Amino acid sequence: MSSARYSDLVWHQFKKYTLAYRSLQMLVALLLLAVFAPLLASDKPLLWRVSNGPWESPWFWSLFDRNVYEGTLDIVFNVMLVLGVPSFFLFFVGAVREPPVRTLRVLLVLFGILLLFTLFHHPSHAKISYPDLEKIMIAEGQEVTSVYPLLPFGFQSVDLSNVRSPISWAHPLGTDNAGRDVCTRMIYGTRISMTVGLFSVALYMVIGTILGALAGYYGGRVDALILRLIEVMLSIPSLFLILAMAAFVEKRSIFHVMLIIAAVLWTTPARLVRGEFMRLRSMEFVVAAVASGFGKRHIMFREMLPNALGPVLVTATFGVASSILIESTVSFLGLGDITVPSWGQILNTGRSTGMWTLILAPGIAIFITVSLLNLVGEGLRDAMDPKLRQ
Amino acid sequence: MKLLEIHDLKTHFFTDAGILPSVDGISFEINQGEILGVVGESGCGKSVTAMSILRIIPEPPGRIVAGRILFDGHDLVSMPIEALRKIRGRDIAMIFQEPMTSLNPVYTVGEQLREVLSLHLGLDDDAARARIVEMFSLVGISEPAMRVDAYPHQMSGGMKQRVMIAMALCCSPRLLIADEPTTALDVTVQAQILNLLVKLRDERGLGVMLITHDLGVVAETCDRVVVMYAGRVVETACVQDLFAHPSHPYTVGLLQSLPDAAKPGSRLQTIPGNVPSPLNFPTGCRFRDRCSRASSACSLEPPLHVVGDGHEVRCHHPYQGGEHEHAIA
Repeated sequence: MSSARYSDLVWHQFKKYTLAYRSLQMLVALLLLAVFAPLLASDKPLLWRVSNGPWESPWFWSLFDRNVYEGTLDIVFNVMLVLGVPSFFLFFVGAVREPPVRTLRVLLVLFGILLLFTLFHHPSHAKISYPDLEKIMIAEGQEVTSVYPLLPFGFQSVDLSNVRSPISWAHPLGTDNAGRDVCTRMIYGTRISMTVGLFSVALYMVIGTILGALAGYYGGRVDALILRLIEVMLSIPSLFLILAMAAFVEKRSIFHVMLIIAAVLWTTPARLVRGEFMRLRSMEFVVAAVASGFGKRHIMFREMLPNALGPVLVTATFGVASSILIESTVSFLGLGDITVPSWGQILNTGRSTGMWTLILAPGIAIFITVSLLNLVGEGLRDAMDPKLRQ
Repeated sequence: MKLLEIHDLKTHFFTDAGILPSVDGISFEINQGEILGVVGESGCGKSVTAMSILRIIPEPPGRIVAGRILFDGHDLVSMPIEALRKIRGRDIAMIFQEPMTSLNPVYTVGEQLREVLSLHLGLDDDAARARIVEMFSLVGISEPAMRVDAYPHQMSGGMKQRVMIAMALCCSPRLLIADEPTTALDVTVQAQILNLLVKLRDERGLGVMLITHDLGVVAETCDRVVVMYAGRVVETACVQDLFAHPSHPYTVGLLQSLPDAAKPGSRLQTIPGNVPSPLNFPTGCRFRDRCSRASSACSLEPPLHVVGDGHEVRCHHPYQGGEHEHAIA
């Protein structure tokens, strides 16, 4: 072992757990699938030329188009896609193994600028259905050259002439009751699940960690107050709480669902961090830090928190899995965001229409993702356990 | 010159079982360039006294209920916390008993010292690094420049204790509180660390409060000794006086329990009984239940006798002259 940092030690150990490590690789692949979704499925042609006119790429411009990708979430992923491809070539094909910090910073700034630009950019020509346009133009006798992604469908593009079509080469998972390609919707559903998992977990981890840290550090009345709050939250069955909260929000977007998940799940890291802080509070290095003249903030966040983060990270992994499950449950019960093609929404459609592809496909996807996350979480937990280290 | 004066300090712990007067009215002082030994059995309030000086007792349940701790004429007890923070680690530093857990496992030792240096002296990274290497070689860490980037778990216990001492000394404090600094170490490392303390006292005029229950350590390193029992100071003396003419029956008992005080072949003497629980300390002299010289007078507060120059004892029936020799014999 070259380095002795704790994180390196854990990583080194984690890599030895083949199953967990492979699961992590598959999750990364799933994340890449989410980012690169428009490359696989989009109803905008990658390349488009009418007669001898110039080559165009409606696909590229649609990525930043709020009329095509209505959700902020999709726009964020698209910007990641646009910046991700060049940086992929830059760092991996260009054999730059360790990305320099400055380049990363430049990319981050670019990301921000591009995001802001696209969020407030509403081109007017967007609501064109290129496949329809192509048919019309060919009928008019014009020569059209076009290159589409593998699946030339948008996740919202309705085709009423092709409802409930069975599995075929054109529609690998068939179409649903509105003629939307199920495979396309499943691919874009990855985006929803990944975001729900990562965003709501990040959100409730921050809330839970801060509250738990305050409770564990101060003890006494602060602790009692936060603990009572946790107990009240825990005493209400979480599914009912989620459904009740969802029922109160009138126009539910996927972000509302994430907020609701975070509002329910924050108690787990809070309890954990509280316990860790109570244990660390009496550790001599913490007392030594106080005796060295450091202030409260330094002691809580620089001395104690890094020591408490290990178990929190493990629960975060399990948290991603349960967040994805909760989102699916909420969507399945019809209280999710109906505008996004989340796996739970697809499942909900399957339930109401009785189409088996709409039930099996998201069911398996949820099962696999949650299993992978749990395997990674368990691997991480074992890697952090010094007793299991050889 | 007096560096630290403690006047009638009382630190009590308010628990569900009742009030524990762990430190109950103690007074002593530490001079510049002096190693003051604080001895006593476990639970007699040595550590609580040390923690009270820097006000790091866990609060609640602990609280300093009375007394003054004067450092440079400023009262640490009533001082606002911001002002005290500037003194902690800079003017008064502390080393703890357990070197294994005294360093933060997630940072390199250099990083931990650097933070202290930038907090108190405002040193930048390069200056701090130079200073850390200098401190490491002072405390006898081999290959100091390489050790700066080591993590605590890569070091042995003795090495970690040296790092702790380097950390305590890096801002050139005037008073060092060492709470059983050598208890967890083996004998050779123990001797090296104690020699280091003596060297620092001689070279830098460092005042040291050395808490220990090892009378051997006291005999070797200390200039003066404070003997504590059940939250009170029972005897104060310079180290020669204490070993030559112990006055308090408890001190005599402690000395008698040393293996080298016993005659070869004879049974080692012990003090009968245990330290009373702080929940029900006896009235008057708290040692009277275990004392062979106790009388009915001992249920009253014992008076302070000045036995010799700087030699004070709080007892109704102190040993006088060479009287204790008979007790040992």
